[in-house]
Amino acid sequence: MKFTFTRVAETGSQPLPIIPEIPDIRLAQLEGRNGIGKTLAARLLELISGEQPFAALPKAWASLVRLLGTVEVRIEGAPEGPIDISLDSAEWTDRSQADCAANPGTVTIAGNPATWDAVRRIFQVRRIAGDEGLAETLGRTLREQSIAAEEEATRLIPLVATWSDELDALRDVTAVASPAELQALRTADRDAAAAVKRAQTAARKAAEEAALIADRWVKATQALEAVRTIPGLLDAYGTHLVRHEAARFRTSQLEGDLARAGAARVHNAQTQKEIGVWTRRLDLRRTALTRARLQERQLLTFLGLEGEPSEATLRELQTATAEALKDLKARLRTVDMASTVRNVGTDIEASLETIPASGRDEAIAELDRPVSAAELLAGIRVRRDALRDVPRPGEAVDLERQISKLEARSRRLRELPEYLDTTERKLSNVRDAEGRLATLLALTADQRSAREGVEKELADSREVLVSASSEAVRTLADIQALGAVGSAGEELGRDTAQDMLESTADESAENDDAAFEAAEEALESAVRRILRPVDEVTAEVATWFDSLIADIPAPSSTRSLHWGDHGTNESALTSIVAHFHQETASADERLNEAASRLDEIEHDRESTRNALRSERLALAAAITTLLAPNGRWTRFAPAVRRAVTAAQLTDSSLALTTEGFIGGTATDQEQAAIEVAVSTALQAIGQVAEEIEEAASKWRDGWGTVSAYMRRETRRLAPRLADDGAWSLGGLDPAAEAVLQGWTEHAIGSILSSEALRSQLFDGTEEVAFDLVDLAVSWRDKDDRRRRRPLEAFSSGEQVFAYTRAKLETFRSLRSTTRFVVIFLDEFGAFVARDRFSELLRYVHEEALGTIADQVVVMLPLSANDVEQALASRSLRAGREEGSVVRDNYFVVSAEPERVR
Amino acid sequence: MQSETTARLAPLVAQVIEVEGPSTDGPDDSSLAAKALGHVRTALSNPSPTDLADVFAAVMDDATRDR
Repeated sequence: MKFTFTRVAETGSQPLPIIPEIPDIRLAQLEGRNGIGKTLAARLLELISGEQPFAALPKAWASLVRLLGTVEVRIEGAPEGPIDISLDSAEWTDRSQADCAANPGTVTIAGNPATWDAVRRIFQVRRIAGDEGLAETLGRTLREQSIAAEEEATRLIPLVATWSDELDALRDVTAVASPAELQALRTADRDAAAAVKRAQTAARKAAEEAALIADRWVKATQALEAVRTIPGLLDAYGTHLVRHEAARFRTSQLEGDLARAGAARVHNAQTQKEIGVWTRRLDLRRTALTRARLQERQLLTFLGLEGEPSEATLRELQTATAEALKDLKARLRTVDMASTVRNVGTDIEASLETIPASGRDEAIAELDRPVSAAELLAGIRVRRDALRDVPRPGEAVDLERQISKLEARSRRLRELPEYLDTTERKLSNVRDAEGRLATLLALTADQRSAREGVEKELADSREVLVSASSEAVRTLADIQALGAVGSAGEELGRDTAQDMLESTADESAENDDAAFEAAEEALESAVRRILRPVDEVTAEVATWFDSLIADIPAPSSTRSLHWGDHGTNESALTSIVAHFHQETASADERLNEAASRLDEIEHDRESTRNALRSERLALAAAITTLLAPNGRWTRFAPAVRRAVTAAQLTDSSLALTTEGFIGGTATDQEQAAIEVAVSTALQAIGQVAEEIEEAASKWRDGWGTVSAYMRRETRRLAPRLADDGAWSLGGLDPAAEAVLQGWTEHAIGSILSSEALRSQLFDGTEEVAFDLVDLAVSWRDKDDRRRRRPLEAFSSGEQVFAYTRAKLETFRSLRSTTRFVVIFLDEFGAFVARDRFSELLRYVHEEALGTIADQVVVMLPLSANDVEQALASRSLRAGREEGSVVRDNYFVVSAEPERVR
Repeated sequence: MQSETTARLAPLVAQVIEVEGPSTDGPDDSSLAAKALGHVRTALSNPSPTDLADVFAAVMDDATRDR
């Protein structure tokens, strides 16, 4: 057959050269300069034949794809007509070597489009490299496998990366708490709730204990103060009572004197009657004035004032009292924080409840996340319930007592002007009556003088009476302020004053004798109630003191304290007060610790609850995302459904799940079961994703491992073929290495056991084995003796010749599948150097032509400086005359043995 | 198209993975792992690789059947 190569178009700046023509010579000798494209022509014809001569040469293949361009090949000599082939290397870009070998370009036979199978049934081309020994042939086989494995690994890299991306995203969705983690969170939540209750109980107990001890301290302090001050007050009270009684007696005497002084002159009956009436009225009005002054004095005494204050002073007092009250209330809010927070919470709660239900999901505050009005409302209610149980500290109780006192003082300051007005009015009434009586009496100057003397003395006596009773009441109030006298002090005094005010407020009643008498009796009654005998008050103080002492479970000696022995009592109570003062400080410290602990535990519990809530939301979000219609994971829905079913999740429970568990109708137990099932399903999905990702990575890396192993062994067998690959062996598992070694030895053993090699190299033995570790071949010879030879022993000239014959033999079967076989013997320069070239040609001519091949082309480097010289030196000139080709840089002539000789 | 060489090497790759055993940081269900590898091998050896969702469904079938 004649082969013609025509370059149509080139790519790249350095086009690959190719010889233009190989003539139809049965046994041809092709000699040419290096680098003119002899081997490329043979390899292209191999490619056309469906072989991939670059399988072990990926870099050469990449270079060919880049630089060959478009080449047209014509094959002449077939009965069907000329075969025209167009090869365009641009079409091979990004295609596998195997695919390019199967379909390298376009082909026509006698001008008609044809299949590659049809072409290959007509002719087949093979090339044998003379410089490739047995070891290199085997190495090339491993090299081809290494490259194939690397190509597969490379092909898998983007595929596996794409899968990994999607599986990672899927695993991210399913990365939720496991059933065990959920159970642990629920247990932690329950434990935290129990811990909060325990801490609340401890805090309440500490508060109660602190309050109890504070109460004892207050009572002991009260008792000590009573012991120190009440005896003196009782003495003073007794003195005031004596003065009061003396003044009362003297006043009564003077009133009689005055009545008699009024009757010194004779009047007519009518006048006498009017005198009697006005004398009585004047007496009553004076009594009323006395009462009013008494009330006024009591009020001023209560307020701590010596006399009637000016309006400016009164305003200052009211302002000072209001400010003091404000300060105390502010302190109370600070001390009693629980009550303060509870009250503020109640105010906020009331405001939040004004938001319609439909709007309560709106965020009302931004903390570490948006907080809705509904959440804030629920949180305030929970906190309010917790604060309800927090006891009030002792200081707060004391402050409230002070506030109560100041509120009473404020009330009295507001009432004072009314009392002052009343006294003024009573004084005016008295003067009016005095004027009228003076007119009626029509006394002489002496008589009037005598009467006025009595009146003045009476007025002084009444003043003493008022003063004594006021002092007595004030002293009693001081005793009451210590808590020793029940209702005899401030409240009773206020009530009595109120009664008197009411009884004298109505001016018309002053003309009613009965009303005056009733008022007088009321006054007497009130005074009797207030100014009780000293013994009675002392007995009441003693009873109160004993009761107070009974409430103080201090040292046993306390029990023996009774009112009376004031020196002993003061000494004992001083040490008791000191004891409870210390105890109160300790109790307050314990209370603070318990409150701090409660805060910490409540915070911990909130964290646990938030964690559980987050995990529940994550579960719901994950399963909802995976089952969302037309979502990213819709393609995976059947598998997700399968996992859901396997986890025994029903549609109804799944519906609860997709509602996010929040506000659902499931009980806690049902919810926990659903959560576990959802978690189980998600875990299964995550596990499957992980298994697939792991398997895909292993499959990809497995190819890399095989490639790296084959490359390593290639380097040992044929260093010339090996280069650096993309994959490294790293720490190869010994078991995997054993598998790879066994497989490789078996594969090489199979090659060596081919019939051609067995007959040519291994005494026609049945089976040849290969040891990859020692690179040795073993077989049994004809005498059944075991032979073992290292691979390098097959590189002697004789063995190489035998090997070439063996390779030629492997092509013998080609003629059963194609009509015309062409074999190129390339790189056989060494044969020429060894003077074995004639032997080779003879063998080819006698043993191969006509049986193995129909045409053989032996390719050699140019043996002289130029073509003419080469032809001359090799006595091949004759060959030029019989269809030979002679070009500038190569020639092809017949190499039939008889011509060579 | 997968070459004949590649097709011949595939069982070797599978065997290497099998003897190497599970990864220390990977899933520990060796039975499921083997089944997953089978599905993955088939899918990735196909010139037009199977949709990951189909592979996922096949492995999930095995996983849930085993339970």
